[in-house]
Amino acid sequence: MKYLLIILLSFGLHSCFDIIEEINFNENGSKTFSYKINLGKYKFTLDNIIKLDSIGKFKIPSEDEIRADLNVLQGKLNKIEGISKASCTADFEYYIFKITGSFKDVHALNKVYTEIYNFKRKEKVPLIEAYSFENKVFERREKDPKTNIFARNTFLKENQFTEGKIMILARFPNQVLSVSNLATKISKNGKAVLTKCSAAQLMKKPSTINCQVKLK
Amino acid sequence: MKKLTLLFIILLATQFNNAQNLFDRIPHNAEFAIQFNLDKMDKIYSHKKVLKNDMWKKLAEDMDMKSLTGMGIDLAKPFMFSVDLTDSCSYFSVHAHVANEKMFYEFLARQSKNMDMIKDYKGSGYTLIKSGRSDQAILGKGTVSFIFADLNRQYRRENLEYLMEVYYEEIRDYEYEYQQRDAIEGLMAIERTLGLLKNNPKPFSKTDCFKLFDKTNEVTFWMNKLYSQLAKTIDDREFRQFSNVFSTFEGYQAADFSMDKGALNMEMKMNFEKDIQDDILEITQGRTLKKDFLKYIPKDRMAIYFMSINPKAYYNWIKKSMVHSFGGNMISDASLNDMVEIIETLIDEDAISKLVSGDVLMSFNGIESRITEYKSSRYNEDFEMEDVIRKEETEYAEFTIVIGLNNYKFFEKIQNIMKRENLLSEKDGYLMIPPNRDLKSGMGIHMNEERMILSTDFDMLANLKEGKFYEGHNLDVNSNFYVDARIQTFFNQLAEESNRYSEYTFYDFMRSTFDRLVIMSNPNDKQLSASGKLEMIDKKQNVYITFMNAINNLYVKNELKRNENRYQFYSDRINKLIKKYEALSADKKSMKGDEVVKAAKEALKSKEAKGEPYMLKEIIWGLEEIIDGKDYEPEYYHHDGDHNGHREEIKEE
Repeated sequence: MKYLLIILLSFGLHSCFDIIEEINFNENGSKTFSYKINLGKYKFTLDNIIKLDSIGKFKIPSEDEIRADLNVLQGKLNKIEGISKASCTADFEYYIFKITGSFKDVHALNKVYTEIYNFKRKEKVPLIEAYSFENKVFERREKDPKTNIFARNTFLKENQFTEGKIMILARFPNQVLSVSNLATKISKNGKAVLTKCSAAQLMKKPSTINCQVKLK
Repeated sequence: MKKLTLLFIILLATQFNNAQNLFDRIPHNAEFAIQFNLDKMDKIYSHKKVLKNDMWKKLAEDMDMKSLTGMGIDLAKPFMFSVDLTDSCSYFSVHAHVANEKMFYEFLARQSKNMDMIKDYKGSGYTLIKSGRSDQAILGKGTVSFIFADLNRQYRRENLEYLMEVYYEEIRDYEYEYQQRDAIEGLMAIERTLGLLKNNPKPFSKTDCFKLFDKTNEVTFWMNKLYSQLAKTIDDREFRQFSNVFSTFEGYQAADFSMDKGALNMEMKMNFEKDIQDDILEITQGRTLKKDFLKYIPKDRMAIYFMSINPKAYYNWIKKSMVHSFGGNMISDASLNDMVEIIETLIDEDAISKLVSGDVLMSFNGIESRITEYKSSRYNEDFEMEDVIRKEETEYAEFTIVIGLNNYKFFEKIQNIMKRENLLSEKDGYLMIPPNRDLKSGMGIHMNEERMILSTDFDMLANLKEGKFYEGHNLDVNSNFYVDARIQTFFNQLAEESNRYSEYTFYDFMRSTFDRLVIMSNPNDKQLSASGKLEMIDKKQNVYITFMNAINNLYVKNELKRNENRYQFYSDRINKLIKKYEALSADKKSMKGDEVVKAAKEALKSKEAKGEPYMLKEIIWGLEEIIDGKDYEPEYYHHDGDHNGHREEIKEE
């Protein structure tokens, strides 16, 4: 996903895209994840770009190449212990890229997160512990800036990649008692939390999205 | 404010008059002068008829007069405005003929409570009329001059104390320094004018600048070594740094406008200092437009800029200009000359100047727009996500630039480097600079032995490989410079798209008044000269009548009948959208759409909408969102609450 994002954003699409992360701990016991990148607002420009071979040193992947890569990623995710029904899809009509699946526990979810991060990278990072859930306390962490594409990618910084919207959403079967991040909002039914920020904020301070959620 | 109003009135009044005697009031070194031959204009459209228009009637009413003829100004005789920039002071003057001195004085007295009149001021034979510290007019012998002075900052800084001593008697009643300064400026203006009236051995009419035209038409302006003096007097250090750049264009320029049936004709003459003049003539003479270039642009383009120059002469002129512009400022003239010689030794001057042929055509074809649909995420109070389809309109300028080449291999090498480094990509038979933030559409490049074409007209570029070109051009001019702007087409597009009444009235005024503007050089003239034509939509009526009536209509729409016209504008837009909605197939209609249409119909009938038509704008937004999927609604709504559970509904963004 990050690989796709970097490629697509490298062509000047530095504003007005959406990244939505949804982690669901449902009442029926299921646990699902969803990462969605929406570049639809740039359809006109992307339609032009996708027809080109390359831009500068970037080779432009064709739709088939992107789909093939997503299939590879999908295969890798499904091989992770504790992960099932992982699916990587690309909608080139609306330029929406989605990775979804079910996870057994947050350890498996962390493996998914790390696998996506490491996909198509030469230097692999060890397990990124972006999520934890123990004793009715859920935590979303971005400790190390090195594990954050926005913090690392100077190209994106130099191109004033600032206005993309990031939404980090988590749903729980129980009521939320409190959240540690003042920017995190609790839903009306009290069972979901949402943290929103811009890509610029995330680049500057990845811990912007860190939040500890205490549940009833 | 009073001063401005007065100046404005005089300016407007004189839109309506053998002005040679007014020239006597302008010194030979005045930098700028403009003459309105109201006598000629009055024969086209009598000022008595003009003043019957609503706009002028309202203005007269506001000034407590039955008609602007009550000002006492002779609106059927010439009127002038001049600017004289001296090292100490900038003088701005308005000169007019007075039909009735008594009426004129009474008119001024009505405008200012502190009006004062001194007849035979200091034995000059002229009457001084003063209102306030620095507002003054010199009246006499059937003419009046309003003159305003502005002390130059540096001169003021160095000489204010001295001036305060000189004018002590006249300014001692003023308490504050700014008042004393104003009063000094007023006194300097009076002295300057009286001095010129008493003795002006070389009036403006005897200058070489004035003599550029033997005969003048309705409106004429002259610029007399304006640029260099402007650079010297503008109170900005950075700007002054460039005074030498301006002096590169030292010389005289004049333009004369004649008002004909359906068109305003312009003749422009330029006379630079001999060296500059010779250089510019070498750049332009003997050149003609490469009309074959026109096949790359559509016949119905919005504007073109077309020229043919001698590249070697241009290159030499640039070098001289640089020496002239920067020498003495940043480095000494001698050093700069040496540097130029060093560069000339290192660079093959002939090769550089022979890279291009000097033929360039730039065309702006119009604004292209593409509507694309995208999905946006929206969530409710429980943060449940849903996708909504939105529409995004991407607009980009369609343009084409054609450049004549003399050294194709040079440009081919650059092209090859860019291709190898993947900065250019192949697309439909031409090369493409990919879309980016500043150029959303990207840009295509096509090159052959003779020319390079840069364009966002991708259909044209794609057709080149099949040998297809635009046809039907008929540009019958013998010139080396040509500019053509289709004003009506351009503003028509803007007016059709505008949903703002204030913008729309201006666009509508432009599209219904002006057709197109053409400017071209006269290459056969041994002097640098150009001619232009502003063609009007109404070809049968004199341009002066058309323009004055159009201005009046604009005023009526914007001021006198603003609400009625605004209501009409918004209701027309709404009715059009309602028709569009009703024509939609059943599956594209919605309950929400039906409700908005119903509300729109009711709003149109309401008294509130007629009283406050502005409110109808929101209905237009609502309808456009439903019919065209335009995104006026905030993209995200969320339920806001703090981490203690205190919750509150807010609407974000």
